[in-house]
Amino acid sequence: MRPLLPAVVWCVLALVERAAAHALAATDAAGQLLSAGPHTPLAVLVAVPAFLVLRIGLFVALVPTALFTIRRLVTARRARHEGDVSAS
Amino acid sequence: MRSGRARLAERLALVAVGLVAAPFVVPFLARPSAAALYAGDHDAVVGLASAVELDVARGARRQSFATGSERFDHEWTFGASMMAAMGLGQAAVLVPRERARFVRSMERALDAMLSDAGRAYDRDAWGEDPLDALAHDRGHMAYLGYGGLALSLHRLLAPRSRLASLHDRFVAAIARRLAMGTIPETYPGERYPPDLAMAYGALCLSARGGHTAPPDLAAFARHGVDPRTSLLYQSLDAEGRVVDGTRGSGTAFAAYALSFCGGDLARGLDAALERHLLTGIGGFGAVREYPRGHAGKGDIDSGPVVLGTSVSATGFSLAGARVFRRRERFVRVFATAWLFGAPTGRDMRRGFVTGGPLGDAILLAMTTALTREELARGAR
Repeated sequence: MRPLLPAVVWCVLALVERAAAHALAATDAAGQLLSAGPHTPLAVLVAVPAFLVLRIGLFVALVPTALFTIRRLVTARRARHEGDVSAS
Repeated sequence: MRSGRARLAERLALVAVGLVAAPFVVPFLARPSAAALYAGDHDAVVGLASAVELDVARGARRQSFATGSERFDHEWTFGASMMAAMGLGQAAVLVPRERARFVRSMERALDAMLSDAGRAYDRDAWGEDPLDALAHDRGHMAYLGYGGLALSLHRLLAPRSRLASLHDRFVAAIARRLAMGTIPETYPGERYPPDLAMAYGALCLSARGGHTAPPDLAAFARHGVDPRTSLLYQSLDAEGRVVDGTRGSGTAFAAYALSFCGGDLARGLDAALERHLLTGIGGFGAVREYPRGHAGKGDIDSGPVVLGTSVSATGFSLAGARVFRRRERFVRVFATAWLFGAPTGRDMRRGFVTGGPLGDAILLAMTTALTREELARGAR
């Protein structure tokens, strides 16, 4: 399980992003970002950019996470193989 | 046993490789949706159109906008209804099986556009109701142009509807203003070529249905298009002198409106936009608001300008890419809209989280902009 930790964290964050997307879509608030002005509520000015940071961060982290996970899986497999060899 | 420093170096290298690769890899996630919309795929178009239908049914509430200007809040309410009408009309052409349903929804959007709330921004600016202005020859060019374009598309789809006589009055009012030889005003003392492009588009669409004569586009090109770059000026004074120079949002939007005219003008604007303003990184495409070497903070027309690229110019440019069959550009720009717009869907409806009613309506209208062949099919 441990080698998969980066991928698991990424998936959990992806689920959080989807939940936030549905929550924002259910309100008119999200659309206000496009027309943001002096009367835009503070909650919108905080929540929507925070959502976007999470979303973009997720996609920026997608490839590094995949590479890390593969690297960790390879290392774990090699360690297991070396353990098997020394045990025999 | 490797040293801690070597492990750290390896991890940093992995992160660096990942970050460099991300702009090339992530857009692939958006490609299926982009390709489906580009092809006019049934499910993709119905999904987006259904979300806009829901917004129209709920009513594009004024509370959705908070620009800080009463006039612009009203204007965006009008814009959301008008763009919804265009998008739903185009969806009716692309999905013949749902034509009757989308034309009905289009009529609801047109009713909102023509309602007291939809007319408020223009009435506030002129001190006169735009429907009263149908009888005379001065100004109101945005309301007449945008409204006329949506009514013309509806007339093409439903030639004998209850809106037919109002459409006749709109296009007659536009034609009279354009025939005067001066540059018609959007607001008192303010003249915007992108709004004029809508008016020309309205007459072209109307001419396709045989309701008016095709307009003379040479006059528009002479006033509105920069001869050096072929981009569109954003605003002019009464003598045709440039007040606000060439801009991405206006050029892209005019290319969409004038695409209903066929011919080379819209294609030329779209090609100029691609030549001078298209930018991007990896598989993501975006459109600059100002040509290279010019800077600006943007305004209500451009939306937020980030790293020189504007939300409006990028979104509007999807229309030209679809109409003029620039597939790679469409896919790249859509990938950007997909990343920042955050599509979400339920029950076959697909809207964009950060767009709201206006963003959804614009993206529907731009991603379903009709090719010449599709437009000809819709007129039958």
